[in-house]
Amino acid sequence: MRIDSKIIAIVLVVMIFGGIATADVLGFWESESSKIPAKYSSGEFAGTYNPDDIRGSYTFGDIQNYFDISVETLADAFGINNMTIDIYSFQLKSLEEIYIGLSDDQEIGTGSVKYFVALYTGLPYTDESDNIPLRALEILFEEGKIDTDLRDKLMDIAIDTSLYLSPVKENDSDIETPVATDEHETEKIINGNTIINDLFSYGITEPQLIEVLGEVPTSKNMKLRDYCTEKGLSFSAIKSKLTEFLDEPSSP
Amino acid sequence: MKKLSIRRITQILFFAIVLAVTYSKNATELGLTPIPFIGGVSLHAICPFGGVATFYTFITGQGLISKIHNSTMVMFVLVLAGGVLFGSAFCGFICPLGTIQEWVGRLGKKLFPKQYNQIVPVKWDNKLRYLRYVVLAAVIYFSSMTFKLVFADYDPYFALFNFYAGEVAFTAIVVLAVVLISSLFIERPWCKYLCPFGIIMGWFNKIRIFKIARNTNSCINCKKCDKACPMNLVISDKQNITSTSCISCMECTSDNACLVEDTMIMKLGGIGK
Repeated sequence: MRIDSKIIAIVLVVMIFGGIATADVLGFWESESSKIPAKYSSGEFAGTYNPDDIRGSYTFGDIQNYFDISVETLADAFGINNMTIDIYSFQLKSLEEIYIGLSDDQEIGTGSVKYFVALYTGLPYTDESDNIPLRALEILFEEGKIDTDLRDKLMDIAIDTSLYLSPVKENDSDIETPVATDEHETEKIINGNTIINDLFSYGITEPQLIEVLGEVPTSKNMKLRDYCTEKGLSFSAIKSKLTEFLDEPSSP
Repeated sequence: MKKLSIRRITQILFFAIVLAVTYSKNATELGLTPIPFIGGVSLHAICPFGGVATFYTFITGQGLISKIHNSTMVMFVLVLAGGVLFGSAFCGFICPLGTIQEWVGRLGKKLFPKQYNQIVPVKWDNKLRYLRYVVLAAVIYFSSMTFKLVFADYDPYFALFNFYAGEVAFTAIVVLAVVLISSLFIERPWCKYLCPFGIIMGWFNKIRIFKIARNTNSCINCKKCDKACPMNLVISDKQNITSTSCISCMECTSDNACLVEDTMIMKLGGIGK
C-alpha cells in the first residue's frame, strides 16, 4: 500500500480533530484549569489543599475558598487594597505586573502568594526562596501565624512593596490605577473575568439570576463568560441585563 | 500562480488554528469576546509537547505540571498515534514552528541561493544534532523537579504566538529571534539542532508502519532526493529512511525530487532488506 502526502494530511487532520471530538464526548478534553489545587496525598496533611499547587490564574477569591484566608487580608498583604479593582477576581499573576519595578533578583508574584498561604495556614511548602511583601509579614505576625524568630528570619526576603507599587497600563482590564473613589461603586463591574460568585458579592440575588440565566449555575467559580458560552447564551446580553440590576437603586 | 501542495495547505491550516487559539485566549484575558468554540483555551492546552514535559510527573502519579491540562495529554497521545503510522509527519505537516521556519527559509533561499542550507559543515552538523537530546533531558528533568513548565521561558513556539501579549520571557524572544534569523541560512535550524519534541517524533521513524523507502532496483542514483531533503539527510544510500532527523515532509518522494516512478515511496512496511 503506497501513501502520498494527500493521505498523510487527511489521516492526520481526521485523527486530530476526530480524537479531540472523541475525547470531548468521553469527558477527557479539559483544556482549562479546574482551579482546584491538588491535595497532599500522604502524611499529616493528607487531604488538605496544597499551596504548592496554587497557580497564576487563581484569583484571591479562589485562595479564600480553598485556604480560608479572606480576600481583604490577601489584598492588604499584597498591597492592592487601595486599588479600585475587584479583589475577589484579582488574578495572582497580575502581581508581577504591578511589581514590575522590583530589581532583577526580587519578585512578588504567584510564588509569594503560595509562600504567604503556606505560612498563614501552617502548611508545608517546598520553595522558600520567594520574596513576600513586608506588609504580609506584619499580618502573619499580628495574627500570630509566625513567631518573632521566624519573622526576623523572613525579614531577609521581605520587600517594602509600597515603594515599588507601579502605575499600571490604562487598558488593563484586571488592574486599574489607584483612584480615590467609592469602592463599592467601582467594584461592581461585570467583564470577561467575572465569576458567578462575584455576582452574589455584587448583590445580585438568586431570583434575579434565575430571571436572567434561567437557573443558578452549580459551579460558582465558573466565569460568567464561560457559562454563557457553554449554554449558548449571549454574554453581552446577559451582562447588560445583570448590569441593569446593579444599577437599580435598591441594589445593595 | 504556483499551486499549493497539500502539505503546505495543512501547515497553513494548523498555523491559523494556533493563531486563533492564542488570539482567543488573549482576548479572554483582556475581557474581550473570544472566538466561538475556542474560548479561553491556552496554547499549552493544545501543544503535545506539554505531554513530554509532564510525562515523568504523570506516570509517577504526581499529576500534571503547572499549565498542562488533560487536553495536552490527549494531543500528546494523538500525535504519538500519528507517529506510529507515519513517523515524524507531525513535524513536516503540522508543527507551526516548523512552518514559520520554512516560510523564512524561502526568503533565505532567494537571498542566499548558493549558501542556503549549506553553511554548517557536515562534521559539525552531525554533532550539533545531539543537542536535541540535551534539551529533551533538561526539559524533563527541570519540569519534573519544579512542577513548572520551565521550558516556556525558552520556548520559541510559545514566543512566536504570544510575543504581543506581554507574557513571554525575554529569553524566549531571543531564542525565537535567533531561530528566525538562522532560518535565512539554514533550513529548519530549530528542528535540526534543538527541538526536543522532534527527537521523540524522530524515534517513530524507526518503527513507523508506513516507511519512506528507496527502491534500489529502479534508483538511478541521481541524488536529487538528497538535495530535496530539507534536513540535509543522505537518502541516496539508504533503503528505508529511519533517521530521527527525518520530518516526513515527503519532499524526497515528490515528482520534483524523484524522476523515476515507484522509486522513492512511502509504503506499508517499507522495502525489505
